[in-house]
This record gives sequence, structure tokens and C-alpha cells, in this order.
Amino acid sequence: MPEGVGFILFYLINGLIWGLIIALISLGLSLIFGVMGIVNMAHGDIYMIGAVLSFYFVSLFGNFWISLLIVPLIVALIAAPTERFILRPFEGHPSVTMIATVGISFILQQVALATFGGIPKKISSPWEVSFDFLGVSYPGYRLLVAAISALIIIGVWLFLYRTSLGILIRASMQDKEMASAMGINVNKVLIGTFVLGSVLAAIGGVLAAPISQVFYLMGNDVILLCFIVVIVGGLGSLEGTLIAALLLSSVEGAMAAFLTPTEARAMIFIIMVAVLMLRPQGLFGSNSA
Amino acid sequence: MMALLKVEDIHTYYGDSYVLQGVSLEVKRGEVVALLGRNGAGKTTTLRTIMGIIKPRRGKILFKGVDITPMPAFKVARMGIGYVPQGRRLFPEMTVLENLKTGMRKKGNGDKLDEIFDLFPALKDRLSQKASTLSGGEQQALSIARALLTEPEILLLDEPTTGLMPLLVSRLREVIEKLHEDGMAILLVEEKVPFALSVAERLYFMVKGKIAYEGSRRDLEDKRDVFIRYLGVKN
Repeated sequence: MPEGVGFILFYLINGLIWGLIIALISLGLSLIFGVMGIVNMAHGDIYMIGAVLSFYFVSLFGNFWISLLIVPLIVALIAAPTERFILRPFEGHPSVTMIATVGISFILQQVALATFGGIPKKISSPWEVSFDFLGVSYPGYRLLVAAISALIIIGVWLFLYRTSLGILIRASMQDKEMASAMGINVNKVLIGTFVLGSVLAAIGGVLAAPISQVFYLMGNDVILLCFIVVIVGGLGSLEGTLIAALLLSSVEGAMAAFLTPTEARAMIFIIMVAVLMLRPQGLFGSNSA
Repeated sequence: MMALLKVEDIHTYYGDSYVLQGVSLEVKRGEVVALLGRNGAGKTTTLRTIMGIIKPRRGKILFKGVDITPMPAFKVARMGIGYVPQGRRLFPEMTVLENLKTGMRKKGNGDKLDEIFDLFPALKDRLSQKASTLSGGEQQALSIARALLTEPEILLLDEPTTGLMPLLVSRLREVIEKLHEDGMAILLVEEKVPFALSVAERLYFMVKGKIAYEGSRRDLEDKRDVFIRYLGVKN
């Protein structure tokens, strides 16, 4: 076990790395909420499905990296018809779509339970290298996960802020009706956003699978943290989501050095309450939100 | 000449309230037409119905001879109808350039952007500024510029003079005249009667969801009573 400064740093880095995965998943949740107005209660279960599918692919091919490529594609193929046939008919009715996503959440969990089983399983680390860092030996795969997550987040960011497709998504996020009157096919934007958001959650699941245990209820824990992140960051604010994910996860990580995991999680709730008391719209939310 | 835009007896509801009670009007190619009326007469609803944002329960809208009534708004826009809504409705969190790009659907219309800057030179210096930080006049310019970039054959302008200083109103008149010279058809909804009279060749007066009067500018020159009767104003 590490000691002293290295000890705290170890937990802080752990938190920060976890924060990048949470940021990736929360970005998807935030996009889906921002563009579609849907509170996606099934988002954590899409993360779980990513991990479960990854488990199967690793058992099948013995190669983790193949699963990182294929699983997002499979999830995209599931997400597109889900948006079109389950969510689209209730577009503009936030409470109905929210209940629909609760239903999707149950279905995904039960399908996973029926096929994968109720016992947590582990995927062995795909990169058995560790780095010595301030007297602490740190698993290389975790650093790799941080790098991959950061790259994907940067990629999504560039897509949204530097491409013409990204402009159409952001325009739809700000004023759907006007976007449509400008000739933007908002329905395509909606389905694209749901697919993109779901793929981000699934990638999070694949990346997290070797770090945490693969379990059919693993999404519940993550979705809670993601909602806190999105709320603290400010509803509909993508930069708020990113910053809140990194901030809260580092805090939780550092707290884990002194407190039990449950107490550390309680700290996150305390931070959320404090933020909402001082800024009800969240750190980066607009006043109207 | 066949009308470019022909609205035939449309009836539109907002929930239970019966807003448009059989509106018919037409705009010919290159023609500037104004739709006047008091607050709540249904002018904005007429434009929103043409745009496909709300659907009429009865009636038909023809554009270039095609029935566009069942089309979603994005298809109406792509058919060649540009919309400049009341209150500008810019994408506030995006830059001026990004707002313009939402209108640039067709590839390679970079030249079009230069034409826009000829028309609205002020926008050129503000490209990287957020739309919400622009002045009222600049916002109106951006809203029109954005619609023009969709390369429409007709422009629907909803109360473009609202909140503009007199100097900017006359600047807007020049812009409309320039567009008219270039052959753009315009359907202008307006509450400022003198402004509408100065730019429109033909005018419709709406009262309680119906067209109450239609006439050319010349017809109206010696009929001041029309303005008093339908708008309650002396011109």
C-alpha cells in the first residue's frame, strides 16, 4: 500500500481516471437531454450492456480491442430503432419519454440477467503493464483508459464545435423549431444524437469492464453519479458536464483515501446540495434552465 | 402568371382556439406583399402555417404549384421558402458565422456569403461573436442573412422593424428594395403601416383570422378609410 503524499495522489489519480470515464458517459446523457429533452433513465444500462457485450466478445475472440470496436457498432444498431420506434412517438412529452426509458432500463437489465446471469464476472486487464509513479505501482491499463476517454471526449468536442454536422446538432439543441425552419431535418438530428449518446455510454462500459466487475446492475451506480454530474454541471451544458465529472470524481477519489466508499459518495451529494443552493441552475447552466 | 405562393382557404387552430378562419392569399414571383392587421389578427400564425410549423385543419398551401401543406418545416424550407420569425430567433449560444452556416445547406455557396456581406457589411466584423451579444439591428440583419443563405425564392418576414431605431428601419427598407430588385418575392407581416406601404406593391388586411381587404398600393392611395376601418389607425 502506498504511503504519504503518494497515497493521496494515488487515490486522486484513480478518481480522475474514473472521472474521465464518467465524463464520457455523462456527455452522452447530457447530449441526449440537451438535444432531445429526454431524461434517459436507461443510460446506465446501456453502459452495462457495453460491458456485458465486451465480456462476451473477449470470451469469444480472446481480444479486448476487437470488442472496443464492435460493441459500439452493435449498440448503435440497437439505439437507432429504439429512438425511432419507442421514443419518437412521444417526442415533446418529457414525462412519457422518461417513463419509456425506465421501461427500456428494466428490459436491458432483465435481458442481461437472463443471458449473462446474476453473478459478477471479471475481464482480465488487456494491458498487463504497470508504471512506477512516486513510489506507487500504477496499472497501465487505467492510464490507457484515461487517454482513450480523453481522446474520445476531444473528438466529440471537435465534432460538435468544428464540423457543420455539429453546428446542426447545436442549433437543434437551442431551438428545434427554428432549426427545422432553416431546412435542418431535426428528426435525423434526434436519432443521430441518441445513437451518439448511447455509443458514448457503451464505450464507457467497454473501457470500464476490465477495471470494475461486469454485473447486470452495474449501471445503477453509474447512472446516479452521471445525473449528479449533469445537474451540478448545469442541465444542457456540455462544458459543465465535463468539468463537473472531473471535479466530482477527483473529490470522491481523494475522499476515498480517508473515508469509506459510502461516505465518499455522501460527500458528492453534499457538494451537489451546496452547488444547487448557491447556483440552482448548476455551475454552467443558464438562468432559464 | 402563376402565383409563386398560393394559400387557399386555410383554417388553423391552436388547441381549441380557432385562429385562422379561412385565409387565402397569393404572392407572385418577385412580388413584395404585405400582410397587415392588429395584434392577434393571425398574421404570425399565417406565416407559421405556410412554413409547416403548424398544420392547418383545412385548406391548401401551394408553392411553385406543389402542395406543401403536409410537408414538415425542413422540407418547406428546402423547397425555397426562407423564414425570418418574430423576435429573430437566432441560435443565441452560437457565433454569427455558425448561425449563418445553419442556412448553408448546399455545398460550395461560399460566394453567397460574400453577397450577404455586401448586403450586411456589419456582420463581417462580428463573425466570431456570439449571436446573443449583437445589437438589435445586427440581430435582425443576421436573422435575414441566415434565411437568405438557404437560397429561398420567397422570404417570409415577420415584423422585422420591431425594436429598430428609425435609421435602421430605413436601412431595412433599402435591403428589402435591393432584394426586390434581385427578384426575391417577399411576404411581409408588419404593424408599422407606413413602412409596409413604402415597400409593398400589394397589401392584405387581416381581421380576426380572415382576410378583410386586399388591394394594391395604388388602390389604397385614396382610400384612407380602409386603414381606419381595418387597423384602427389614421395613416
